[in-house]
Amino acid sequence: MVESSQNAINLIKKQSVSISKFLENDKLMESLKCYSLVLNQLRLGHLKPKQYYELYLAVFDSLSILKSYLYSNFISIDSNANKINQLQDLYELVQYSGNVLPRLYLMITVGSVILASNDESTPSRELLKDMIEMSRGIQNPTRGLFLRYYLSQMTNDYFNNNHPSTKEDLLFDLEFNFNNFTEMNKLWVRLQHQGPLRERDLRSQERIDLKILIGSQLVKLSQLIDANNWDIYNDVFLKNFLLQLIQCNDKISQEYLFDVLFQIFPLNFHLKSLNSYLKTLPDLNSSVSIDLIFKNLISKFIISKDEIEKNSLDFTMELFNFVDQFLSENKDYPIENLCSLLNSLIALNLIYKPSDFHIIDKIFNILNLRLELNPKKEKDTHLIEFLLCIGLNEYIDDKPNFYYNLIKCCGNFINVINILDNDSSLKIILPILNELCQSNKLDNIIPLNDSNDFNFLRNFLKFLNPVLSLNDFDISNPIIELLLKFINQLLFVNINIKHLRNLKQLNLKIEFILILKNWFSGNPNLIRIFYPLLITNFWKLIRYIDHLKCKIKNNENITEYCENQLKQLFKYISRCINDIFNYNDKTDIELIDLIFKLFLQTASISDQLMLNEVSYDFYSQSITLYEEYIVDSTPQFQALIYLIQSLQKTRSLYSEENYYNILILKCISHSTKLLKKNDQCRAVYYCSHLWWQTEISSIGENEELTKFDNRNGKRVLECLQRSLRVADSIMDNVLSCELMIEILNRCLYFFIPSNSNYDSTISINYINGLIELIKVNLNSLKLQESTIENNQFDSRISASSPSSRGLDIVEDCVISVDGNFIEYNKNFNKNSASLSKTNQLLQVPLSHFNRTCEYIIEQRDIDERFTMIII
Amino acid sequence: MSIFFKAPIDIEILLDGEESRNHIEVSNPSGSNAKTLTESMPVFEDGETVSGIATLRVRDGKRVEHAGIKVSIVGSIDLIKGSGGSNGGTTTSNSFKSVDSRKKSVEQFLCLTYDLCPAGELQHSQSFPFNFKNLPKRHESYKGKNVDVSYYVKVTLIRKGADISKIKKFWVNLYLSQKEIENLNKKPVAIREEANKTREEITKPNAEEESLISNESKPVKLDIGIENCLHIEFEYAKSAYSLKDVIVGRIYFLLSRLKIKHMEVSLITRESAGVSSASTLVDSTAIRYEIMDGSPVKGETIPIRLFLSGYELTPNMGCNYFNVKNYLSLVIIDEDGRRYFKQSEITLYRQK
Repeated sequence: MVESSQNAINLIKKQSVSISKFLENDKLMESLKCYSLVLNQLRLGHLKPKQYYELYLAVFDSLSILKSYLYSNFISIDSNANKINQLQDLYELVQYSGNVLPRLYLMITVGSVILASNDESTPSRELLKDMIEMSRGIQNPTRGLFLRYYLSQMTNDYFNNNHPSTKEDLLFDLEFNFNNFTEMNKLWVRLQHQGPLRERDLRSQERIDLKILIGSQLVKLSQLIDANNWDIYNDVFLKNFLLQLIQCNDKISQEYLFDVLFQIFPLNFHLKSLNSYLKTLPDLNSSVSIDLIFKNLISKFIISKDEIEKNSLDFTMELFNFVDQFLSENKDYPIENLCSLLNSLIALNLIYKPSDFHIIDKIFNILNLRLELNPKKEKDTHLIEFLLCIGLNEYIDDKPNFYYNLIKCCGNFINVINILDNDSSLKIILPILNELCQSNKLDNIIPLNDSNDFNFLRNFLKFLNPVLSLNDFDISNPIIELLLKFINQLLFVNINIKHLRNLKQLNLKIEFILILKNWFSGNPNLIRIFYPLLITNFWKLIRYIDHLKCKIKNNENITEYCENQLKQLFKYISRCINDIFNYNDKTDIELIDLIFKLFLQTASISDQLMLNEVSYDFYSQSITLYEEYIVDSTPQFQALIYLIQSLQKTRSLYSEENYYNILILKCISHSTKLLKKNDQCRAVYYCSHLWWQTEISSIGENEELTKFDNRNGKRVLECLQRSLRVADSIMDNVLSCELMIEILNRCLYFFIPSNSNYDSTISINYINGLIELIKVNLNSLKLQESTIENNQFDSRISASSPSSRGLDIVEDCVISVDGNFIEYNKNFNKNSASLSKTNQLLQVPLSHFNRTCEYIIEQRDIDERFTMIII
Repeated sequence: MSIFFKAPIDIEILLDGEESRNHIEVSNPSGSNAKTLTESMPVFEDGETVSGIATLRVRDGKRVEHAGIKVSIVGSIDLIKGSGGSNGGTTTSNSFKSVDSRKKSVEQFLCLTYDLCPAGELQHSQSFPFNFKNLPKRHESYKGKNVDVSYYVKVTLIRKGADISKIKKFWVNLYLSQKEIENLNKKPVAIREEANKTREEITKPNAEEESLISNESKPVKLDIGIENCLHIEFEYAKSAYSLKDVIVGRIYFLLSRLKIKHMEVSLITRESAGVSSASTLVDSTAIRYEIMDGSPVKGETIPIRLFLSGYELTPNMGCNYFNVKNYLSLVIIDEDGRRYFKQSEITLYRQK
């Protein structure tokens, strides 16, 4: 086929040479004979559009020889009527051509020259009418299309040079071109139905290859209609155009021609005629992608944004109403196309009404209604794609703000998210959340200052509802990570003393946290991750209320109100902690530890607010938790230390019920029950501090000036003695020795202030006795070390459990706070049982003792009493 | 005239104003013994005077005795020998001589003779003027396959032995008067239904023949088709055309399920020679004119415009021995090469 078309082109070129020669010698008739050969090549069947187009170009070039010959010989010399008559005779003469296609090409060629004569006597209209009428003889789609394209090209000059002066002239010109357009379209559509059915796709492709021919005819029409002449456009052109489009009932044609229409005519035409367009869309072929046409239309509006006056924005509503109406009538419209339609609408509204989220909400309502028809969870990739792309619109310059408003104002968007299946909705949530968290303006976006702002929060949480149904996740899950970041920021911004100006706002903030709390309560994992965050913010609020209460002392109402609120807040906290406890695995040591600390911290805060009842309650809960759930020795020891530290600082528990005593007795009792002797020993000497209050400078206490109620030297000594007994009873004499040195340090600590008002039962003698005891033990250790190379205890040491906290590094060995020795060298993993480390282990108590001695010597300069300590 | 014997006398016939007169080139039939392929003849009209000068030249100053010199003007209908018309031909005189050797004259509808010179002796070359004044010519000259209509002037030198004669052919074109033309257009055109309907013949879907309804300037309309396959309506502006006319019409496709390759209009000249019972029909396609390329769909209208003046056409004519009729034939050729056609008779006439 390529070959035959190439042969044809070669023939045309050869003939064109002869034609040129004949015409140089004025042998017109001979040249016409050549043309008959040339033009017959266009009758070749079954050529691909591209090949036919090449052929057409060759013929076009060839015919232009004739055209310019005729023009220079009959027109340009001088416009004399006789010459025109000769041309008209020629016009008749060429019609003797027996084949219709060559005949028409020649007619049009000669006709175009006659039209160019510009003579008033030339019957231009009749000629035009004749050419277009006779062109009906070509019913073959491809050949017909090209012939009419030729007609269009050949008449182009005429229409460009003869601008219609009257409306009638204009109507004639329009009719001519419209007629040609219509026929071209018919032929174009007919091409689809040529050949066997299985080649349908091939035909479609061929048609697309040819679309430019018909498109150019439409462009010609657009050039005839002046940009101010909307009446003609609407009443004459568009009416017929739309009619033709509906009649041809062809997908490719309808889609392409609408697109061209949108592109070539001015914007104000489209605005004014929008209604006509929209009315037509439902009448198009059912296979037509309405959304594609719609998208093209909207693209036109978007591109021409600057041309549209701000006061004429009704069209956005019109477009919306169309989509709404259309989709309500076409309930089975494919979701893919539906999404595309909505996407266009959203883009349009973002451009023209960037702050109006009301309409975007309405757009999502359409989608929502559609999805509700199908109650099962949606998992449509197009839908997800669409939802993912909403924020990717290039016209959104502030994405976080867009999402913020989207979530705040578009309840229907959120409903859609909730209709999706879980995986899909999370896919959409993640990038949005990410975008919201990316924002460096996060705090600008989210100050919730009145109850309206809660819409955002409520919607936001509803938007996140799919997260609630997540299973098995932890804090490293990206969504949780982002959510944590976001919620944290949200709380940080809102629960901020700066923003708390009055009680009303206070209520709002409480409500705010409670909303969050309610939402998180839907998922145990979330409870665990987020409740501590909420609790800390409750703490903040408590501090603030207390602050407020202290400031406004003379108003009883406020004081009462504050007290009630405080109570309430502590109840919320209690509830939160209990929820964390109840909804999670109680064997999880870390969880229990967390809860324990939350209790202690809350107790401590309430103590600071002098709410002894509350404080006692939280302490007792923490102790209960200890008793019931902290069962391993190490956490037990840790927990007790925390408890002791916390209790030591309390100030409110000394009232009539003597809560303090109850609590510390419990504490000491648990300390003495610890399984490991070293833990027991340490816990007990820590307990000694419970009878020895120290200054808390933040509440104005001063070691020198303040009289501390709770300093009981006798009890302190009891504890230390008890502790020493335990240390002494430990078989591991290195450890025992170390513990004694620690107790010595405690003794020195309590010894220092005993020069003042308080009874000190730590006497010099006692210290000296202790030092003596230590020295004896150390000596016996050294002796042991020199006689026995391989002491059996070091294997035990190296097997003990490590903890990385508070390590004292002594050469290659460390001692942790719980008193265990940990081997510290590069070969840690190697079996160290056989290594002789006794020497190094011994260094721990030795060096500790040495440091203690150094301290005592240093203190001698300050405090005379230290001189009496014998080292 | 024998080539072996040199005739003692040369006869030359010169018609008055022959040089300035219109001439027509008539092709000689390939089987004839004419020297050239075409023959040029002056053209005369009905009622025109045919006059001229016959010059008889004597060879070498010899005297030629004769029994008189006469001039005849002859109009003759010649039929091919052995054709259907021979029955009639033989009964008429053998002396009717045809100009075409393969044909013989069956009727001399015109034969006027008068003496130019009484019996005597020609001693030197002598010219005789002759004149057939306002000569009526009943038939148009025609040269067909089986039948000719020919006119000639014959000058005969009558001798005791063999007569010496010379003929001068001329051509006659008959022009219809305005009135005749008007009558012609009023006359209903008979659409002859072909008796043997072949598959390809387009049959009439309904009996209505609009064309038979006589009305002035009523166009020829015909509604034809093949059931569930093709249904077209065609229309010619009129049924009678002058030879310089343009046939204008249109074809309206009411239904088209054929895959049409192209469609053409042809003008067929049908010569029917001999008496009606045993006539010989010869069709010749005078024009073949493609009017459509490709396959139209329902609702398409295809225009027809055919200029006649560029073609050599024969106007309708007829007499007892033959007639010439013209038909417009619409031919549709489908992609499988099948032809579907419909003929309708039109009248062609010569108009001044």
